[in-house]
Amino acid sequence: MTVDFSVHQRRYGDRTIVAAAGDIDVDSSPRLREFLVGLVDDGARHLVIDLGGVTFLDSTGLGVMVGVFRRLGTANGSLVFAGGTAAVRGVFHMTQLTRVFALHDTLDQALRPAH
Amino acid sequence: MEVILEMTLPRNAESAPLVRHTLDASLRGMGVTSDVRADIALALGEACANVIQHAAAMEYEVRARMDGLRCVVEVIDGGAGGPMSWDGGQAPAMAEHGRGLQLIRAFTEDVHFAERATSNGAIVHFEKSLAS
Repeated sequence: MTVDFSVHQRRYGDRTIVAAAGDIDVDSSPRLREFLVGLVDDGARHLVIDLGGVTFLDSTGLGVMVGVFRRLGTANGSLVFAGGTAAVRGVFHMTQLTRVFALHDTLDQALRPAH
Repeated sequence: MEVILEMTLPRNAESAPLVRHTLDASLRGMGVTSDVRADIALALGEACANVIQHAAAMEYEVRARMDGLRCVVEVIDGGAGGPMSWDGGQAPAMAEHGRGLQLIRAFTEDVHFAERATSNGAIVHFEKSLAS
Protein backbone atom coordinates (compact mmCIF):
# COMPACT_ATOMS: atom_id res chain seq x y z
CA MET A 1 0.00 0.00 0.00
CA THR A 2 1.44 3.32 -1.03
CA VAL A 3 0.40 6.32 0.98
CA ASP A 4 0.63 9.63 -0.78
CA PHE A 5 2.63 12.40 0.70
CA SER A 6 3.95 15.31 -1.30
CA VAL A 7 5.36 18.73 -0.65
CA HIS A 8 5.95 21.60 -3.07
CA GLN A 9 7.15 25.16 -2.72
CA ARG A 10 6.73 28.41 -4.58
CA ARG A 11 7.91 31.95 -3.95
CA TYR A 12 5.53 34.81 -3.14
CA GLY A 13 7.50 38.00 -2.63
CA ASP A 14 9.79 37.36 0.33
CA ARG A 15 7.55 34.51 1.44
CA THR A 16 7.92 30.85 0.51
CA ILE A 17 4.64 28.98 0.26
CA VAL A 18 4.97 25.30 1.10
CA ALA A 19 2.03 23.14 0.05
CA ALA A 20 2.02 19.80 1.84
CA ALA A 21 -0.46 17.11 0.88
CA GLY A 22 -1.35 13.69 2.24
CA ASP A 23 -0.46 12.18 5.61
CA ILE A 24 2.23 13.78 7.77
CA ASP A 25 3.19 11.04 10.20
CA VAL A 26 6.07 9.00 11.58
CA ASP A 27 6.65 7.69 8.06
CA SER A 28 6.61 10.94 6.06
CA SER A 29 7.87 13.43 8.68
CA PRO A 30 11.55 12.83 7.89
CA ARG A 31 10.87 13.79 4.26
CA LEU A 32 9.03 16.93 5.34
CA ARG A 33 11.87 17.85 7.69
CA GLU A 34 14.46 17.34 4.95
CA PHE A 35 12.44 19.50 2.54
CA LEU A 36 11.90 22.37 4.99
CA VAL A 37 15.45 22.37 6.33
CA GLY A 38 16.65 22.44 2.72
CA LEU A 39 14.55 25.54 2.05
CA VAL A 40 15.95 27.30 5.11
CA ASP A 41 19.49 26.31 4.19
CA ASP A 42 18.88 27.78 0.74
CA GLY A 43 17.89 31.11 2.27
CA ALA A 44 14.10 30.95 2.71
CA ARG A 45 13.21 32.93 5.83
CA HIS A 46 9.43 33.42 5.79
CA LEU A 47 7.56 30.15 5.34
CA VAL A 48 3.81 29.82 4.88
CA ILE A 49 2.76 26.18 5.23
CA ASP A 50 -0.44 25.48 3.31
CA LEU A 51 -2.18 22.63 5.15
CA GLY A 52 -5.09 22.51 2.70
CA GLY A 53 -4.12 19.14 1.26
CA VAL A 54 -3.03 17.52 4.52
CA THR A 55 -5.16 14.49 5.41
CA PHE A 56 -3.44 13.54 8.69
CA LEU A 57 -1.03 15.25 11.08
CA ASP A 58 0.47 13.69 14.21
CA SER A 59 2.98 14.70 16.88
CA THR A 60 5.95 13.74 14.75
CA GLY A 61 4.78 16.27 12.16
CA LEU A 62 4.32 18.90 14.87
CA GLY A 63 7.86 18.16 16.05
CA VAL A 64 9.16 18.90 12.56
CA MET A 65 7.31 22.21 12.50
CA VAL A 66 8.69 23.24 15.90
CA GLY A 67 12.22 22.29 14.87
CA VAL A 68 12.01 24.35 11.69
CA PHE A 69 10.43 27.22 13.62
CA ARG A 70 13.34 27.25 16.04
CA ARG A 71 15.80 27.19 13.16
CA LEU A 72 13.98 30.12 11.53
CA GLY A 73 13.72 32.02 14.78
CA THR A 74 17.45 32.24 15.15
CA ALA A 75 17.58 33.65 11.59
CA ASN A 76 14.87 36.29 12.13
CA GLY A 77 12.48 34.23 10.04
CA SER A 78 8.83 33.32 10.45
CA LEU A 79 6.60 30.27 10.07
CA VAL A 80 2.82 30.50 9.74
CA PHE A 81 0.12 28.03 8.73
CA ALA A 82 -2.94 28.24 6.53
CA GLY A 83 -6.03 26.11 6.04
CA GLY A 84 -6.36 22.52 7.18
CA THR A 85 -9.22 20.26 8.15
CA ALA A 86 -10.81 20.47 11.58
CA ALA A 87 -8.82 17.40 12.63
CA VAL A 88 -5.50 18.83 11.47
CA ARG A 89 -6.18 22.18 13.13
CA GLY A 90 -7.32 20.33 16.24
CA VAL A 91 -3.85 18.94 16.95
CA PHE A 92 -2.42 22.47 16.95
CA HIS A 93 -5.09 23.63 19.38
CA MET A 94 -4.92 20.61 21.67
CA THR A 95 -1.16 20.84 22.04
CA GLN A 96 -1.41 24.63 22.52
CA LEU A 97 0.90 25.22 19.58
CA THR A 98 -1.52 27.93 18.50
CA ARG A 99 0.32 30.00 21.12
CA VAL A 100 3.50 29.49 19.13
CA PHE A 101 2.23 29.49 15.56
CA ALA A 102 -0.19 31.72 13.69
CA LEU A 103 -2.88 29.51 12.17
CA HIS A 104 -4.78 31.32 9.40
CA ASP A 105 -8.08 30.08 8.01
CA THR A 106 -7.01 30.48 4.41
CA LEU A 107 -3.85 30.93 2.38
CA ASP A 108 -5.10 34.36 1.25
CA GLN A 109 -5.33 35.48 4.87
CA ALA A 110 -1.87 34.16 5.63
CA LEU A 111 -0.44 36.14 2.72
CA ARG A 112 -2.01 39.48 3.60
CA PRO A 113 0.73 42.04 4.09
CA ALA A 114 -0.52 43.08 7.52
CA HIS A 115 -0.21 39.63 9.10
CA MET B 1 -22.14 -6.39 14.07
CA GLU B 2 -18.77 -6.79 15.69
CA VAL B 3 -15.54 -6.45 13.75
CA ILE B 4 -12.19 -7.58 15.12
CA LEU B 5 -8.91 -6.65 13.47
CA GLU B 6 -5.63 -8.21 14.51
CA MET B 7 -2.48 -7.15 12.77
CA THR B 8 1.12 -8.16 13.33
CA LEU B 9 3.44 -5.60 11.80
CA PRO B 10 7.10 -5.05 11.17
CA ARG B 11 8.34 -2.29 13.44
CA ASN B 12 9.08 0.18 10.67
CA ALA B 13 7.69 3.59 9.85
CA GLU B 14 5.77 2.41 6.79
CA SER B 15 3.60 0.22 9.00
CA ALA B 16 1.97 3.26 10.66
CA PRO B 17 -0.04 4.53 7.66
CA LEU B 18 -0.93 0.95 6.74
CA VAL B 19 -2.44 0.28 10.18
CA ARG B 20 -4.26 3.61 10.32
CA HIS B 21 -5.81 3.22 6.90
CA THR B 22 -6.79 -0.40 7.52
CA LEU B 23 -8.66 0.44 10.72
CA ASP B 24 -10.13 3.55 9.13
CA ALA B 25 -11.54 1.52 6.24
CA SER B 26 -13.30 -0.82 8.68
CA LEU B 27 -14.75 2.08 10.65
CA ARG B 28 -15.88 3.78 7.47
CA GLY B 29 -17.54 0.55 6.38
CA MET B 30 -19.44 0.53 9.67
CA GLY B 31 -20.69 4.04 9.01
CA VAL B 32 -18.60 5.79 11.66
CA THR B 33 -18.43 9.55 11.07
CA SER B 34 -15.25 11.17 9.77
CA ASP B 35 -14.78 13.21 12.97
CA VAL B 36 -14.70 10.10 15.15
CA ARG B 37 -12.52 8.24 12.64
CA ALA B 38 -10.01 11.11 12.65
CA ASP B 39 -9.70 10.95 16.45
CA ILE B 40 -9.11 7.18 16.36
CA ALA B 41 -6.60 7.49 13.51
CA LEU B 42 -4.66 10.11 15.45
CA ALA B 43 -4.52 8.07 18.67
CA LEU B 44 -3.59 4.91 16.78
CA GLY B 45 -0.94 6.79 14.83
CA GLU B 46 0.58 8.16 18.03
CA ALA B 47 0.61 4.74 19.70
CA CYS B 48 2.23 3.16 16.64
CA ALA B 49 4.77 5.97 16.31
CA ASN B 50 5.79 5.44 19.93
CA VAL B 51 6.39 1.73 19.38
CA ILE B 52 8.18 2.34 16.09
CA GLN B 53 10.48 4.94 17.61
CA HIS B 54 11.12 3.49 21.07
CA ALA B 55 10.53 -0.27 21.21
CA ALA B 56 13.16 -2.84 20.37
CA ALA B 57 11.35 -5.89 19.02
CA MET B 58 11.18 -6.62 15.30
CA GLU B 59 7.39 -6.70 15.31
CA TYR B 60 4.41 -5.27 17.11
CA GLU B 61 0.70 -6.01 17.21
CA VAL B 62 -2.43 -3.94 16.83
CA ARG B 63 -5.80 -5.29 17.97
CA ALA B 64 -9.02 -3.42 17.41
CA ARG B 65 -12.55 -4.47 18.36
CA MET B 66 -15.49 -2.50 17.04
CA ASP B 67 -19.21 -2.79 17.49
CA GLY B 68 -21.87 -0.18 16.87
CA LEU B 69 -21.09 1.58 20.13
CA ARG B 70 -17.40 1.44 20.79
CA CYS B 71 -13.97 0.95 19.28
CA VAL B 72 -11.34 -0.56 21.57
CA VAL B 73 -7.73 -0.46 20.38
CA GLU B 74 -4.59 -2.01 21.82
CA VAL B 75 -1.10 -1.51 20.47
CA ILE B 76 1.27 -4.11 21.86
CA ASP B 77 4.98 -3.93 21.41
CA GLY B 78 6.89 -7.15 21.05
CA GLY B 79 8.94 -6.79 24.19
CA ALA B 80 12.68 -6.97 24.64
CA GLY B 81 12.77 -3.21 24.87
CA GLY B 82 13.44 -0.95 27.77
CA PRO B 83 10.80 0.58 30.02
CA MET B 84 7.95 2.64 28.60
CA SER B 85 9.36 5.76 27.08
CA TRP B 86 6.44 8.15 26.85
CA ASP B 87 7.59 11.61 27.69
CA GLY B 88 5.36 12.60 30.58
CA GLY B 89 2.16 14.59 30.28
CA GLN B 90 2.54 17.87 28.51
CA ALA B 91 5.48 18.89 26.39
CA PRO B 92 7.07 22.31 26.81
CA ALA B 93 5.79 24.70 24.17
CA MET B 94 8.91 24.52 22.04
CA ALA B 95 9.79 20.85 22.47
CA GLU B 96 10.10 18.74 19.35
CA HIS B 97 8.89 15.55 21.09
CA GLY B 98 6.53 14.48 23.84
CA ARG B 99 3.07 15.35 22.49
CA GLY B 100 1.94 11.84 21.53
CA LEU B 101 0.48 10.72 24.83
CA GLN B 102 -1.16 14.11 25.29
CA LEU B 103 -2.95 13.68 21.97
CA ILE B 104 -4.12 10.12 22.71
CA ARG B 105 -5.57 11.28 26.03
CA ALA B 106 -7.19 14.32 24.45
CA PHE B 107 -8.97 12.55 21.62
CA THR B 108 -9.91 9.15 23.09
CA GLU B 109 -11.22 7.63 26.32
CA ASP B 110 -10.17 5.00 28.83
CA VAL B 111 -6.52 5.40 27.99
CA HIS B 112 -4.16 3.19 29.92
CA PHE B 113 -0.81 1.56 29.69
CA ALA B 114 0.30 -1.81 30.95
CA GLU B 115 3.54 -3.64 31.12
CA ARG B 116 3.10 -7.02 29.53
CA ALA B 117 3.06 -9.72 32.17
CA THR B 118 4.99 -12.31 30.23
CA SER B 119 7.75 -10.14 28.86
CA ASN B 120 8.95 -6.60 29.15
CA GLY B 121 6.85 -5.31 26.28
CA ALA B 122 4.07 -2.81 26.84
CA ILE B 123 0.44 -2.30 25.87
CA VAL B 124 -1.25 0.98 25.00
CA HIS B 125 -5.02 0.74 25.36
CA PHE B 126 -7.61 3.30 24.35
CA GLU B 127 -11.30 3.36 23.54
CA LYS B 128 -13.57 5.64 21.59
CA SER B 129 -17.33 5.91 21.61
CA LEU B 130 -18.74 5.46 18.10
CA ALA B 131 -22.09 7.01 18.89
CA SER B 132 -22.24 10.32 17.06
